[in-house]
Amino acid sequence: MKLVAVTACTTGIAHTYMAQEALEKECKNRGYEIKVETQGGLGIENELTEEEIAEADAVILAVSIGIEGDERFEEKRDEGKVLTMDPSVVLKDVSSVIDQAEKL
Amino acid sequence: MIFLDVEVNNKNEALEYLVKQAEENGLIIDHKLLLEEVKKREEKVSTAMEFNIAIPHGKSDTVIEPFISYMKTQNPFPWDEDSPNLVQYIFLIGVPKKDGNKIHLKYISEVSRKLIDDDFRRKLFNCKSVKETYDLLNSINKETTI
Repeated sequence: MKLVAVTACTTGIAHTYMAQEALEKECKNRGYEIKVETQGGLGIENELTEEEIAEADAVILAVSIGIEGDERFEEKRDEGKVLTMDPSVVLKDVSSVIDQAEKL
Repeated sequence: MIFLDVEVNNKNEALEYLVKQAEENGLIIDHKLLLEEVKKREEKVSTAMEFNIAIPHGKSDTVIEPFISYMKTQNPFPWDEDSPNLVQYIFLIGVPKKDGNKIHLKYISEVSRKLIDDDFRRKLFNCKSVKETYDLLNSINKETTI
């Protein structure tokens, strides 16, 4: 399983990075590959390339604000492979988020 | 700033305590302005999470430099109506509207990440003194590279 994700929150300081950590940790436990781009107070870090997005089995957008480069995910959206939720949902129950991504 | 075993029993008391301390320590100009922003953020989505932790935060020009302060309350208490979890460990984060010092921001993001780590939380919850807590939180600093 190969996933890509973007995390971003309004203040861009805590949830963005906590959600990143939670996703990376859960995927590591399951033996899945994931790359998480963060859009927070530190700007865009770990930016996803077009290629990485194209190769991903699913996209998780844990965002509570509009993100930069949202159009990168349009193709995946058309395929029904994009899951969007508030970062707090990831923090509360990351395991069911990944379960949902698996089912896409 | 680290405060252990503080006697507060609700969210408002906790937030007020922390913003006033931030003002006394010269991290912010006016505690009322930050309090307002932090409360606005809480109204949108509660920052209480699992493990008895809450991370209230606010972005305001009254903040001079990005900071994170930590409080362990004497007893766990219900944070707000939205969250079923009791809260005992509170991290207040303040950042200026204009992003401010990147190293501080990086540090705050690293602390946030660490809270997801079971081992780190266990160590933090077991800290008995301010010194011990400071050393633990400061160890993140050493790991932080930019």
